[in-house]
Amino acid sequence: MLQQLDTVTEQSAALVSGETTSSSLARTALERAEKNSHLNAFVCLNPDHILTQAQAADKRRESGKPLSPIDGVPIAIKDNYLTKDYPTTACSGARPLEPDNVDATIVANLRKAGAVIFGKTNMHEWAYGATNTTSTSGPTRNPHNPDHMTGGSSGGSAAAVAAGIVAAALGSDTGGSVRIPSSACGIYGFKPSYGRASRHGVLPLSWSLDAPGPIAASLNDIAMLLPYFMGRDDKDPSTFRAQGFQPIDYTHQIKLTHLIGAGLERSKEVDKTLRSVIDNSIATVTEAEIPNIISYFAAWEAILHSEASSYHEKYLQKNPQGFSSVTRAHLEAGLKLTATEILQAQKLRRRLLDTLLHSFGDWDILVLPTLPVTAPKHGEDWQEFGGRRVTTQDSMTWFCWLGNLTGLPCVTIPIGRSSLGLPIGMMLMGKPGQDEKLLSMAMSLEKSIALKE
Amino acid sequence: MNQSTTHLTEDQKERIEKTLKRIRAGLWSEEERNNTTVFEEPSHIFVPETYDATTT
Repeated sequence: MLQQLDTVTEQSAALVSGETTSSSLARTALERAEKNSHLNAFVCLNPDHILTQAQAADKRRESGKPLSPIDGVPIAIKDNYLTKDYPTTACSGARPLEPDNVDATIVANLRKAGAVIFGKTNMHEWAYGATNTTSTSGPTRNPHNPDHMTGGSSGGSAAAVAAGIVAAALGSDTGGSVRIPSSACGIYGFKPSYGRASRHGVLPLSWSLDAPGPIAASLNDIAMLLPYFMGRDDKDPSTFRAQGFQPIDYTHQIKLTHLIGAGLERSKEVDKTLRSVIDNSIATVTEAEIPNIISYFAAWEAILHSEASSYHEKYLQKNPQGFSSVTRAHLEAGLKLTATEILQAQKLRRRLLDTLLHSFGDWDILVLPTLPVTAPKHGEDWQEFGGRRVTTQDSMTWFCWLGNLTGLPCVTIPIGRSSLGLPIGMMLMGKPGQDEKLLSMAMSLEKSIALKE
Repeated sequence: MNQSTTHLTEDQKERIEKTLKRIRAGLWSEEERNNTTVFEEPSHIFVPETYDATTT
């Protein structure tokens, strides 16, 4: 589990003070990766290459020319971000095993800042699932209890951070894939507003839902990493109007709206933990229900499957056996949706955003549990909570898809443990484009929670 | 292209049918049919100026 010097902030400070070196951080991370190999967090690691990068970072620092505050900090990369030095398979048999000779924009930004690119992490095949149980490298295991899932699809990244192997890792989020495993593993994950973070070089699942985001051991770390995600990238048209990350210190009263009601059920234990935290926080709290949520969920599914099918059509024709059985069924379903159905989904998307922004009064944050249950056990196909019986897959995306369909910025923070010792997370959703305000409010709320504990 | 590719298993056919049934029931639910708002135009993401960049 997390140990001293396990945050990016601490590692950066220790590198500046000379208390540690990048080579030392890299060696420790490699040792921890070996020690935690049973978690199956990594699909590709090259110790020689990692140590070479670390030595170069040490030389820059010795000569007084570090490239950035994160120069020399090891950061793991989800296996759907293109990397020059590692193959990018998305944990699917349909992808080539050779590197693509190009970095995703975010990887390039980190490399330019001197970060040590620390291997590729395990994920749910093509990010097309939220359990991390379907992967050419096998399932990932939760550091809090290896009999339980990490959630996904960025499960390897979350496991690597939660186990203290690296302080931060990259994830991508189409229906919760940054937030789900971060919550299940008891750490922090941030999904930027749609259009603020570059998707260039991140293998798509669904163009209009995808958002890359950081997974880390603290909110301060998230703040250190977001500058490498956000801002205009000419290679990604969605970022045409994107502003770079500009941290703010939001000091006003925070108004929370807790979303409840049909379609947003959760287990008693999760509900009790969340209510205890928000009722005792510094924020004012109101409650609201989303009417007809089943239609909005259908809209998310329709957009997801149709966009994924469009991207994968050529792969499906050439190599249908390269996909797992369930992933292929999802893609085939997407091929059968009609243009009218997809446009209806886009109408519903706009209506949901209008409802959230204008029907719930004056709010700063919409709050939900990140997951309705704690990390499921491996082999469990169904979850029961709040009078519902749903597939484990659907239980993982139960709340998170709201952030992708609307494009709102979201962050998950750990707020407690279940009776079995498994983490429980809280998801905060902000107004569109107000990522900095959301992060600042999340920090204030977390401080108030910690002070009361 | 809205035809299935080759050789689907019975399990896959069942999953596809269930997925489409669930989506269609939601998209065209009774409540949704009766829900009228001023926002009837679908959400669009096409912004032509976006593509006026040399490196795109």
